[in-house]
Amino acid sequence: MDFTLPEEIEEKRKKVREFALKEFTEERKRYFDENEKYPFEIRKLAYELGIINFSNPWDLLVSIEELCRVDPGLGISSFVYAFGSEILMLFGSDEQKKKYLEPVQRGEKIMGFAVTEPVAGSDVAGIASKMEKQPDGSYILNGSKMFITNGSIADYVLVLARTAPPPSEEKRHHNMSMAIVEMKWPGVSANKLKGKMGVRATDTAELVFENVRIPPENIIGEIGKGFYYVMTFFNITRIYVAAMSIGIAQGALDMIVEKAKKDKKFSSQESIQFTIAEMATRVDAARLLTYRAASLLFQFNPDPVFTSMAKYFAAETATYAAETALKVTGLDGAITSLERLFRDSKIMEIWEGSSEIEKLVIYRMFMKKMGVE
Amino acid sequence: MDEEHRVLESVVGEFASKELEPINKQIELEGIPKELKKRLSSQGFLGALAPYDLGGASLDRLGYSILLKQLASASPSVAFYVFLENSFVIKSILLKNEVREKIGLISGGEISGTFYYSHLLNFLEPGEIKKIDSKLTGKLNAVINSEANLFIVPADDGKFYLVESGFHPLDEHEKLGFRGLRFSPVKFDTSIKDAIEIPLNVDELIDDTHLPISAIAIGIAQGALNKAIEYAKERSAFLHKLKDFQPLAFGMAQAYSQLDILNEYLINIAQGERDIKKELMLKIISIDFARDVSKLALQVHGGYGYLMDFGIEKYYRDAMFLSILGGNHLDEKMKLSTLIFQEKAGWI
Repeated sequence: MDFTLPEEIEEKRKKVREFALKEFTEERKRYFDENEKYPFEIRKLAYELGIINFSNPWDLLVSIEELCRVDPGLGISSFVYAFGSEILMLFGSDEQKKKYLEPVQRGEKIMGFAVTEPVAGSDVAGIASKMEKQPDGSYILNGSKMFITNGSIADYVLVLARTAPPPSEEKRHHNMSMAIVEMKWPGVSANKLKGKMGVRATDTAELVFENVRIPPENIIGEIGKGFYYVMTFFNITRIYVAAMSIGIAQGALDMIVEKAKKDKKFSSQESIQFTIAEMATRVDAARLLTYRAASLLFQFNPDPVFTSMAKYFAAETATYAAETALKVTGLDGAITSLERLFRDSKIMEIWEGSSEIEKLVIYRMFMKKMGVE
Repeated sequence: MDEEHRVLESVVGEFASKELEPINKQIELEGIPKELKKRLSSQGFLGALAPYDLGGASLDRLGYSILLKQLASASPSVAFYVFLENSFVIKSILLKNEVREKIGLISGGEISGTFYYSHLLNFLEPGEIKKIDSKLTGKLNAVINSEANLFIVPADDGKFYLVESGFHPLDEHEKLGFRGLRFSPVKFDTSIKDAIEIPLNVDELIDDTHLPISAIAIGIAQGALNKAIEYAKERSAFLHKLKDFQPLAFGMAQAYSQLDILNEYLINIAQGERDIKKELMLKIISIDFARDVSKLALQVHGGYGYLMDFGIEKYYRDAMFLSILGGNHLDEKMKLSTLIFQEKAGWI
């Protein structure tokens, strides 16, 4: 068992840290947060400088950590333009990959992933959007989606919708399918959601689909398999959300260490020393859980138990670290970007499967491993 | 609780739901509107601790706690504003006969005041006001309600001064909570002849805030939990209402029970003789509780809780800000330890 990352990955970590410290200036962090603007220029720069490298998953993982360590809003915006691309990589046709995936990978286009609905968040099988097959083979999509990352800036989104009613209550997850929908198509509209508590530089929108015609070649994979595709996707992206969370927790730890360096009276108190010790331990534990889950995933052997453990624990560590650091640094933290880390951290326990959903997954899959169906 | 306090609770509760809830978003985005300050004044809230002869409501400790709790359950920003005006500004002014007439202006909502105590909160860069020749000059950081017309501020001679001119607020700080109030550094260049020394004992003044801060914390928890309970009754997932799921129901039931106990304790302490130990115990527990419950309430709301429109996220931010502005944690925990051990404790 070797706990070290390859040298080139550690080098990349340093490079990304330098990039984030240089480009995510206090003025930019504050501007994009206050104005709820997506940082197109920063995203472009991150791409051009090779900060984001989708071809090496460990490279991507540590880059996400380091970007979010400095600023989650700008950090997430720097790489999330390809959100949903794993679905196309795994289940898309060659034509779909060429037409839709490659321009995203070249940094030219922005993609989104539209699953959550106003009435169905954690309960993916509760979605109501419908795609109805037409005599000419195309599909007509109707419905709405909520909290869609990149929703108002995406060129296209991958949409989950019902293509037939569920066979029974127990099998509500059957008969859902995925399709690529271009945002410029007639009947597609996006309403940017304003007033988020955190990650305000990222774009989030509500999408409405009214009689949107989808050509058959835009259906992803097999009809009726959409739910499985989404769950496969979550098994990948939860690792990256865990990495974001570790970045936030590490960033909060950095802030408390900074105060301890400056204020000897503060750091001489044992209650503060214990707080730092506890926080450093939890951050490391979250990182180890995540790296184990990532290692399995990157060897094409994902384990949903470890993935959900990593996401759940890392997300809770992010909020714990941000809350604790802010509480003990007091006004010194409240008038710095620690205040923003605190606001940003909470979404980690909500998106890509809330902590409650992660616990359900852990329980069910863990018990299965233990031979209990 | 007697009839008089029950009526007060009901009146303030109604005011909070009719006057604060509908404009909560406006308060958060644009600050507390002037018209609202007038209405707070006409209800007697801005002069809650001022004596009758100065136009105040002269509330007792229980009445004042009820007022702050009920206001905080709808708008923590407004509750903190009322607290600041009463517990710091009016109480300080009452110590100086020559300026007592200003209380009428504050309780009437015509001017607002603020009191600087951030330097007592283990804050590394509070700034400083120096008394040089004929001037009070300098800059203070992290001033809450920095758009006030009247400031009570410390100078480098260790005294507090009331000033009404020769200052201006600078650009705002990051704004964690109480967004209805401006939070920024303020620059001072005030003629000493326009500054009035206030003979206050700042430790006593701070000790008197334990109970009102507890009331605000309990109000925040109450407001957040009420919204979470309502939401859990309405929202469905996996073909059931959220309230039907054990982890959520048990968590909220536990929080409800703790809230009820804290509320009873608050009423009990507010009606009894002054007891610093109990007040400190209540404050430390209530602030932690407000943070935990507001976090739970946000989680129950899921993604919607993260949006300002649902009025939940502000409780989470405000509870954290209250824990920062509510006192110096380390000093207070050491003080409580010493009170409990009845000798110096918790100092290593």
